Amino acid sequence: MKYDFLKIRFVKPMLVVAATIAVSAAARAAQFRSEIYQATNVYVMCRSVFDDCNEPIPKSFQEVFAKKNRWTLVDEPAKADLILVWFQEESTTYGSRGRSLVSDTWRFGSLIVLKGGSTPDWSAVPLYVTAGKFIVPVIQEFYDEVIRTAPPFMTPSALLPPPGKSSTGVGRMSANDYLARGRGWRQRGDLDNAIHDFTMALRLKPDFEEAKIELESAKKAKAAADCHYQLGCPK
Amino acid sequence: MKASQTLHAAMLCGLVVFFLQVQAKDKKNRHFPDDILSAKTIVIRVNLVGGTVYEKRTKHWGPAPHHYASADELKPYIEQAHSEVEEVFTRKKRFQVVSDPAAADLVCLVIIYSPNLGEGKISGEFSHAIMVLKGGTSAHWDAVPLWMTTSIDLAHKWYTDDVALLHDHIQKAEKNNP
Repeated sequence: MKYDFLKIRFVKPMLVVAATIAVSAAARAAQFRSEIYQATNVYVMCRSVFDDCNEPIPKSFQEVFAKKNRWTLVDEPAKADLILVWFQEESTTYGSRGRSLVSDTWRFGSLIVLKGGSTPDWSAVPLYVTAGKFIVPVIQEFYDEVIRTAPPFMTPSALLPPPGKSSTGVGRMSANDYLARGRGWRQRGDLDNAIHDFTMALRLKPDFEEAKIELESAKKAKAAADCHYQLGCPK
Repeated sequence: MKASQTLHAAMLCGLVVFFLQVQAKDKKNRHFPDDILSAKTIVIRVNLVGGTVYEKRTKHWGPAPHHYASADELKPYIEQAHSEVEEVFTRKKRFQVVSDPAAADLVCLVIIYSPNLGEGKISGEFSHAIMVLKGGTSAHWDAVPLWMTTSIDLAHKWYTDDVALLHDHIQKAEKNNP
């Protein structure tokens, strides 16, 4: 009787309060607009009238994108969820210090994030702007922050657990569910969670060939990432 | 004899390079976006990224007291930059400045990075980027900038100078393709 009273009067409201706090905390942690978190396809471009931008996606950018696996580069802006426009500028000023001539070089790189697709949304033009000295670390930092702060409810549908399953793992999940969710984690660049889910899939179904292959591949990728992709690292 | 032949060859090479450069420049102008050339209306959007507010100097040594600008503190400076940019568009009489991007042909996005703000003035050594995007009236809309320029000339080049530069580019393109 006492327990029933507690359940009705206190436990349920407490659960509601806890859920509200959790959701608002996740929303606070989300520092970018939802379009950025929900994006899967990005179009990268470089625009400047002073610089011909012969290499719109330099090799160093491609490496950043290949490592993370969250965004796919596309070559049509209408198919992209985000458009990343970057520029890198340099300016040298000369002056004198005593009898000697001194030069000072300023470097400035910036990333401007616009909403892609073929339907405009004028509520935020641009979606985000960030800058630094060199553009590659600027892009890398932005990408890392998106992955780090992405709340589960703002994650692209392709990266979410299978329909009807909770991302927290509550509920009974089959080996196939774990495999699908593990692939989602892998795509998102979260190798630890991917390895966990592939292991769970194998625990439920020890002869699950696909999970075995995925687990092996994820472990290799994790070893390479831990080794910082240096020469001699496992490939 | 041999020396003069070399000289002639060098002069010829120079002429060829010069000719190719002129061709390339013409080609660049020819490819100036039609969406800009045919546009009549434009919306101005100003974005101040960061910014430091300097208060009135209270002492005769060291820097004046300052702090990072809050969103509310940025508002009057955004309005100020907006009116400065609008003044250039009005002066040049090429586009009509409107307020609704959905009904405009173009959107001019002005991004000003970390300026110094104080006593109602934008100052300091800041960088800026100016983009021209398609407006809502475009038949095939996408967010790819049609034109863009950037500057880190440390206060030697004001953002309004680059808005004027856009007009110069349009004028040149129209001159080449009447």
